[in-house]
Amino acid sequence: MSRILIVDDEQAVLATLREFFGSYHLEVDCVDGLEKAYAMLRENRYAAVLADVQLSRLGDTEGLDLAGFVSERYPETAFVVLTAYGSNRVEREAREKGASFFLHKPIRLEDIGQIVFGLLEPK
Amino acid sequence: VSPLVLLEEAQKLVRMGSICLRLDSDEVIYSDSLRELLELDPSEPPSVEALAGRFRPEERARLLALLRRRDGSGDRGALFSTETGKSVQVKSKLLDDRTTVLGTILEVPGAATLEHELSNLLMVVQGNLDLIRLNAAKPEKIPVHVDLATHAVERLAQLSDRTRLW
Repeated sequence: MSRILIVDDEQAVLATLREFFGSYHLEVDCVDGLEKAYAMLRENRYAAVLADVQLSRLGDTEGLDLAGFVSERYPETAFVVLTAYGSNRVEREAREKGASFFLHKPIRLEDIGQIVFGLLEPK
Repeated sequence: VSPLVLLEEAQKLVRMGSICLRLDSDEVIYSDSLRELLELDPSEPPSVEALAGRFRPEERARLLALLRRRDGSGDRGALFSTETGKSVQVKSKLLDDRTTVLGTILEVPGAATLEHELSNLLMVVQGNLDLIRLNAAKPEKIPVHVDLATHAVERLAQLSDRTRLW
């Protein structure tokens, strides 16, 4: 069974995505902050990480740090950005740091699923 | 201290800049605070194109229309996002000579957070509508999704109230 990590500061977003991916029998972990994400990544192996760029109300781009951390330490883990923070500069930086996809909220769950399930397919 | 120096300092204090645009020649003057606010290259001569280049590409045409306006019906304003992710309110006014536009650009720190919260809540509404449709064969799950979507709509209404402050 594939295991994925979802990182978002909004609990209702986490609950929604957990329900969606869980219904496809994926093992889903959800955390609401950068440090918690680092801790989960150190303890578990994930096929993919789905993360927002802005992980607090402070307007920072912590999700980009997370993308860099994942691509550097766990290159086998795919990284998908799901965000409202959609400037060209942020998208460019996310891709430079290893994000495979940059998705904009709000987005249909099936569209997120299509991207994530595609990444989980055996190469 | 001259009134102009005080005005410049006041603009920096409230994170605001100003621009003066001559419509007949496209000549532009910036305040120093505008260069600072939009992180404009100090070695680059002022131009309306350089200014627009600091905004998201999809917003540049709307910005230029606001700054190059030729109608004199008072001041107009709108919210924009810069390339670096700042949210700013831009206002313009055609002066009495009918060839000069005065513009102000004011950083609105709360707007980026508002955009973030709005998008998250819209994601929750959209996601739970999707889940209701996908779970049509499991009616016992539907009340949970209705509750999540309803709560998100209530929070959207609260956010809508906050925008009235602007």
